[in-house]
Amino acid sequence: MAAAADIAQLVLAVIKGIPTGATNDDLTKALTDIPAATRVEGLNILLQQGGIEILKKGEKLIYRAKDPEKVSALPKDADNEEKVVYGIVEEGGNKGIWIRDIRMKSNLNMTQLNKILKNLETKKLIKAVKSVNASKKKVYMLYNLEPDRTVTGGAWYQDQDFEVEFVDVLNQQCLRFLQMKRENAEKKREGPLVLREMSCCTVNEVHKFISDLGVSKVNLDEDDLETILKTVVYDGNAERVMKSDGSYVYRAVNSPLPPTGLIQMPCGICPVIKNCSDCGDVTAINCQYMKDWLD
Amino acid sequence: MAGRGRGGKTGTFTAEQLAMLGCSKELPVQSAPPPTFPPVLNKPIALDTTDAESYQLQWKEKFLNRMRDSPYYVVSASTEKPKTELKDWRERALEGLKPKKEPEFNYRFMPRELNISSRKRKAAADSKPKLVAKKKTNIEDRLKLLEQKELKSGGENDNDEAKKESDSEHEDENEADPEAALDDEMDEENDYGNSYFDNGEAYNEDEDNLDDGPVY
Amino acid sequence: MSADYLHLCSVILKQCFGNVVESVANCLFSATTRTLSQIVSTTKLPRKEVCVALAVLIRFRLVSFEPSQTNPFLPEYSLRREDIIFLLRHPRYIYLMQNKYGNVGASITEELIHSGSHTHVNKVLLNCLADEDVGTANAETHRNTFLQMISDHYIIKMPELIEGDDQDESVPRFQSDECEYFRHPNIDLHLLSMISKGEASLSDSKESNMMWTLNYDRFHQDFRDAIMVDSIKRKLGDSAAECFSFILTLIYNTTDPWQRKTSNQITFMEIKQTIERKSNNLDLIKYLDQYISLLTDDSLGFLRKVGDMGNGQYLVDMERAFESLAFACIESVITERFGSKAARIFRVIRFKKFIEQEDLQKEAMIPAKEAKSLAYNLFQEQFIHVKVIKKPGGGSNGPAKAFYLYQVKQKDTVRMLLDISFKALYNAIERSSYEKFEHKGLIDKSQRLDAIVETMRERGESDEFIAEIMETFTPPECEILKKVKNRIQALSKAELTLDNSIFLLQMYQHHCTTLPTSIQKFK
Repeated sequence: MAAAADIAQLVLAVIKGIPTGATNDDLTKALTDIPAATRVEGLNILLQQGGIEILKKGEKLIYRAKDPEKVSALPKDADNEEKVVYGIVEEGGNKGIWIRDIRMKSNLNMTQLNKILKNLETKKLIKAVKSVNASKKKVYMLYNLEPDRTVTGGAWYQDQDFEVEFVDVLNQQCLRFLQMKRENAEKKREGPLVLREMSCCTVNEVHKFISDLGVSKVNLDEDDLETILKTVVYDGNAERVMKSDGSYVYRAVNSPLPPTGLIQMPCGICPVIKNCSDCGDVTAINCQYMKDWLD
Repeated sequence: MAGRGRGGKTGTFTAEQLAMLGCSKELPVQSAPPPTFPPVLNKPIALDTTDAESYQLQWKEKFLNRMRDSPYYVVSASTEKPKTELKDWRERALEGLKPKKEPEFNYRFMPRELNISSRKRKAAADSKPKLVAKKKTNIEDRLKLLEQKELKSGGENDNDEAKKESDSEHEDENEADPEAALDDEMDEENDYGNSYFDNGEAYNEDEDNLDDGPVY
Repeated sequence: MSADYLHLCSVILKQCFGNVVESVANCLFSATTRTLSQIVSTTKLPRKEVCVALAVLIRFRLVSFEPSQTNPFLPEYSLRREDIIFLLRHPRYIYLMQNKYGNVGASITEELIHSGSHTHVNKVLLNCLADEDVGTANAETHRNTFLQMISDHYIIKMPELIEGDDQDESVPRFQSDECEYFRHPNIDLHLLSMISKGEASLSDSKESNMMWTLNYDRFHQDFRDAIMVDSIKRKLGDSAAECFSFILTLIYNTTDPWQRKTSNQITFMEIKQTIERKSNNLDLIKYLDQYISLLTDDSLGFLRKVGDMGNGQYLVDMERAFESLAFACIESVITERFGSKAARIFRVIRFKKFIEQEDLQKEAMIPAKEAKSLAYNLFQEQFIHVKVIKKPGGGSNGPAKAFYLYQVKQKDTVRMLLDISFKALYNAIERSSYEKFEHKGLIDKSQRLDAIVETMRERGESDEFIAEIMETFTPPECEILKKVKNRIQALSKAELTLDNSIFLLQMYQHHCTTLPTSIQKFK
């Protein structure tokens, strides 16, 4: 019988061959000559060494190889608590993990946990990253990881600050492009469907237009532009249409209604309309907004 | 319900969280009351008046004036002289509005109880001379009309009267609410006391008794 | 029926019929039915005043009555609450008739409004012709227009009085027959002319039980259709709008115009035939099939394809249409009141159905702080709502988790906006009366002056003399008067445009909910 360690190496090789992770079936097929019990022993050794991890996908277990660099990062002299916390942070991947979740998973008390985290931070094993989702929220992740876009916010963030003006300018430029495209389409007189077809823009076209404009100092990809185009849709200025191939195109549209009567007089936009009645401070007669409007 | 009792995760708003987030403009620290009229974002949208609108505006003004001058604009006799001190502008705005021409109603299409004159036809017959004498305006006209009426429909009128009589008897039997009956009694005096109401007969006669005509 | 609507009705009635009618209507507003004695004791008004007020309300079709269930001789009165706001729509009714039938149509409509619902058609026509020569072509025009308005359903026959034989007459009873609604009455021009000369009396008129009135449903149908056609014009252009307008006329051949959710079906062939026969828009005729698919594809969802028979079967989806339009209305209010970023947030929630705060700010591309504050404002003012989903169990670690999801509840928001509109309309009327009252002296003076100047002109007085008279109005007075007039004008215009918002939202309620509405047919 081959040594358990050899079996383990064999199993690891198979698992590494499947980057998405190997299922039990994969292993059985690849290692037909090794009995199930021996195989399990090998897996156990790998798990103990931290060479692989187990993931659950539906009902099935999946074995996946761990990055050897990461595995070796934690020094041998780390104590048990540090190991546990490190492990939890590692699990969080490049999306990071919130301190409260670490505490819940580790069952350590807050002072203890803070000490350990500080410790690991000074050793440059982990780092704290401010998440853009909430300014007060810090997440922890392994030191060598590049934070995920959901944490940094991608192109729209500079040092965790959302660049409102940048987004607004892009939004306006995208809308301008859609409108130009429509105006050009309206000049041709080849029936309504041609007009509609010609006023549609693909993300690629918009991307090219924005890149050529040179308004952006950072590199924007098509996904970024799609995000902006969606805000144009949410502003009610464009519609997003799915084409037969599943891709989306955008086109400028007009609102179906003129400004409604309610917003042609002060009460429709009044912030204190709830307080308005026949008596009290807010009435139709002593209303400041009404006065400003009438004079 | 609003905003309360929803602690916990982000995506909810307690007062503290909002203050923490710096959204304190909606929920100021309660040191001073909020302004009665906080600044607003936009002015109301001003659109030019269309032709359709100016037509409608003109007509509307005319319509309201006509309604106000019409006999169907009913001003209460009882609120004509309220205590001056306590009135607000709404009540004072009603002053100076005088009852106009008697309203005309086609009582055939309404519950009979609303037609006060029909029920008191008998009483009215007696008090008519008094009533006419009290009215300062158009006495001559009215007398003339009365004459005409008598000439025109002597016999018919008798029938009419008889029918009314039986009607009112009938009605008395049917009167469901004793209180209402009492009310009636009291009205009888009021009615002729302030001469707001006449039986309407004369007027009906003079202009357009039209639809009423064939009933009797 | 909301408190805001009650307030509005109260001020409308006061404006049109005075405070006695207002009090009586207020008393009826709070109950389904009341008897005369109940009204007298609640309002503490003299019985005879209550009687007149009720008669006024019945005359203008705002109160109806029925015999009490326990006593057939005792009438019970009820207020037609939804109809009160129609008093404000009169200018629109008139304008529509002016456009369709010219001055004669407008004059007939006006006369019908003022003479109430118990006046014989001959009397109505005579009043229209009051200053004119009866018996000429003019009278004929009036008669023909009247009949045409009946044919077009703008005028409808009132339920007919049942002549009591042995039936007691304390509570008149009526019967209506759907086949009779639009049957032409017999209008005898010769008789009209005789009456006007005093050679005959109105009582000689035939069919004296036949009374006519404005058919509000029909007017509202036109208003509603105009909203739909206009919105297509704004979004898809003139030809598409014309196309849709033809589709609407077509569906009314087979569909009750007030069917709530969708119309009955029509085929492409029918549309094609109609448009080829009636339209001279070459662009539309050439590209008809394209315009149809433009309409069916559009996100407004007015037209829906439901089958392939006859080159395609289509129906008009009223529910989708007014859902889209009500959203457009809500969104424009949000834009003006809370800013365009808030409107963006609203649309994100609307498109996503349910969304958490964090996803919301990401999708809308608005910084967390601002997004939260905007969403909070929208939530507080009931433009959006929050749905809480509790995650069951959660095991031993910590408290049960809950998710807070934003959502849009359109029905609630529409109701809220309607109430704001009612309040706004109330404020406009109230403020206008106040301005008129505050400057009554000045307004009266100017009216008197105008009258004097008018007579002077007629008498041919010299311009200098007229100018002298005019000068009794001092420049500061002129200044103030001009200002006041502008204010009143602005408020009156607000009344008209506010009703556009109200009407649109009421159409939403008719087509997208099962709530009772002012549409008579569904009462």
